[in-house]
Amino acid sequence: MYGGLPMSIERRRGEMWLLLALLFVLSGCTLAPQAPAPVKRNIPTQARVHRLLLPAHQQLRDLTADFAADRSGADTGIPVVAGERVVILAAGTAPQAGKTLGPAGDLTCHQPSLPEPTLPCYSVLYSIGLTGRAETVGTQHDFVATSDGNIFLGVNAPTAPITTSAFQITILTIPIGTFAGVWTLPRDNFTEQGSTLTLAVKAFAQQNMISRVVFTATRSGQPSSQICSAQVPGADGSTYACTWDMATGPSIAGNGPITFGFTITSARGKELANPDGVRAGVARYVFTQSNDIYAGYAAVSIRQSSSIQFEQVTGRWLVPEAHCVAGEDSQVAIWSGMTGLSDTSKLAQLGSLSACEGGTPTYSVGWEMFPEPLVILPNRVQPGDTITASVSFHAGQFQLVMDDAQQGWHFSIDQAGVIADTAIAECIVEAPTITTTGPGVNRSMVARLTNFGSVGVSCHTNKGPIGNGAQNVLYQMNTDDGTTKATTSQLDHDGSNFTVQWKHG
Amino acid sequence: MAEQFGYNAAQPTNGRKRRLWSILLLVIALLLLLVVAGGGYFYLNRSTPEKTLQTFCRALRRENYHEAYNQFSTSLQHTTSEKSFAEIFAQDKVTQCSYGATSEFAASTTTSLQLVHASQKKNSDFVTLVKDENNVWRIADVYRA
Repeated sequence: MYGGLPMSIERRRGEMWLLLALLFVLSGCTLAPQAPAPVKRNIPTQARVHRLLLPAHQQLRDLTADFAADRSGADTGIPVVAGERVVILAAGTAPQAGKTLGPAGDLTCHQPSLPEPTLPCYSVLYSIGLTGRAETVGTQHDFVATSDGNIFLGVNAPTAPITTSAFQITILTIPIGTFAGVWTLPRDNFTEQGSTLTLAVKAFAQQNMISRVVFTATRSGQPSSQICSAQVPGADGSTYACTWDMATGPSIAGNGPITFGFTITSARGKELANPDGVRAGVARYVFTQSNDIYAGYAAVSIRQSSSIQFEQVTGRWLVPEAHCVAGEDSQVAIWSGMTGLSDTSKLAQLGSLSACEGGTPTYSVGWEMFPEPLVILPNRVQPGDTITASVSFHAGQFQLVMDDAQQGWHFSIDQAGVIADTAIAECIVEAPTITTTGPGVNRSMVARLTNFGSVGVSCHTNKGPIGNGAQNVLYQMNTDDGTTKATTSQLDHDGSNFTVQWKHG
Repeated sequence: MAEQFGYNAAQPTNGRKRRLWSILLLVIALLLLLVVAGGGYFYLNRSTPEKTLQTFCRALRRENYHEAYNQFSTSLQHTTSEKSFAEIFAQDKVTQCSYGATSEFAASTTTSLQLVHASQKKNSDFVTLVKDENNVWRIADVYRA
């Protein structure tokens, strides 16, 4: 029995521990609980460029994007992690409280009733995470994220009716050791003409250095060419710009559609090509020439060649009304034609003439193989008629053809010519030179330019719009003393249409 | 004789001791059971991220936006009024709500949250939950996945 008691206590003690262990297990406790794998943000390894429109009525603290299926909210869905460099660029304007305001908002206004009372009214704001601190964006805000989260964007505005205005937002997220850039100039789908063109990007690096930015251009069917580069940023520390002399590089092969790209090279020699895609548009090398008789455009082929440069040029316009004052004698001719580069070249041309004779408007059509005299045709023509005039060259012959759609007549004539006189194709509005010859008289003078208001001209060569293919000359009609007689507009995106506006007789 | 006396005298003492031991063990066992049962009760009824999301989802499905809104942390509630929150769902109610795995063994936990609306359109988000001052898990951040 003596020995039995301790044995019983031992047994009960064991049972008790067993009971406790059982209760412990049943209560759901485990000594080493298995935690589920937490959701972690992916650490980005590449810089990214995001573009979006921020409605001017969008508020910053808005869960709509997260909980509604159809409506956008403040959550851009763009994640950042701590240490990542973030650049937010904002552009555009919006009507707010009777003013037209940019992304910086109204800097003179702070209202307690606004979502962010200490920040300017109607300013574009961002926060990292829905509950993160709100900051202003202005036109550019550059910071290193101190926490993980999505970028939220909104405007510091009271609940306002939905407007159609929106700010254009570009966001760059740049992880450590990487770099990125976005286009500044030219805009996408650009139409640029002139002798030079400025290209610019904003480039940024995070714990890295940018060595240079090289710009490239590509014409359809041609290899990409480097056209200029920038090694030093501008005053803002981020804009890398260069000016392309359009007389060099791929423009030599012809004007028209072109695609620009850029490549950023870091100090460590790493290259990043087109992080913001390419910019496609139209670039035309156009040399502007001022003179007192011509307005309009010429396409010039400077290639030394024994073959035909332009097979045809066709101009179309509405005959402008002559606005005459009493006793006025003046003229304006509108024509299309072809000629060569030498002083002995002939000019095959035909078109319409609006004139004032003693203050009376007159209208006529004619053709000319300059320097031979103008031939006025007997065909009837009225202001507002659509004239189509073309000059073509084939087998040593210029063919001059003209139609008046309203009067219903068609004119055609062939004239002998030489291949060299197909180097220039042009559509011109002219103050004609009047040559007076007679016994003891042989003088030439430029006619006073009839007030024709404005005339729109559509001009094509056999290669397409006059602005596509060859280099162009733009003629502006000015007198030697600087008086503007008529102005020529830029070519449209298509490259065929321009307008000449009368300014002075 | 002394041995016998001793033996005889010890017998009732040992019996009392045994009874005392038994009572003591029983009391201890009962106390332990009480503690364990109480602990188990509180453990089973403790706040967890999963329970918070379960409540949030059930409330959304039942259009009880007040209860759903109450699962938000104070700072999240400061960003959006309950009225605005309810208005978000008014036009396209939530028919399904599901969430991913959570962990209660860290200061915060982030998981996925999927909403399916009556229109059959979906939202995919991430939610971060943290414990408030009362040790209750609350939804502290929401962001698009």
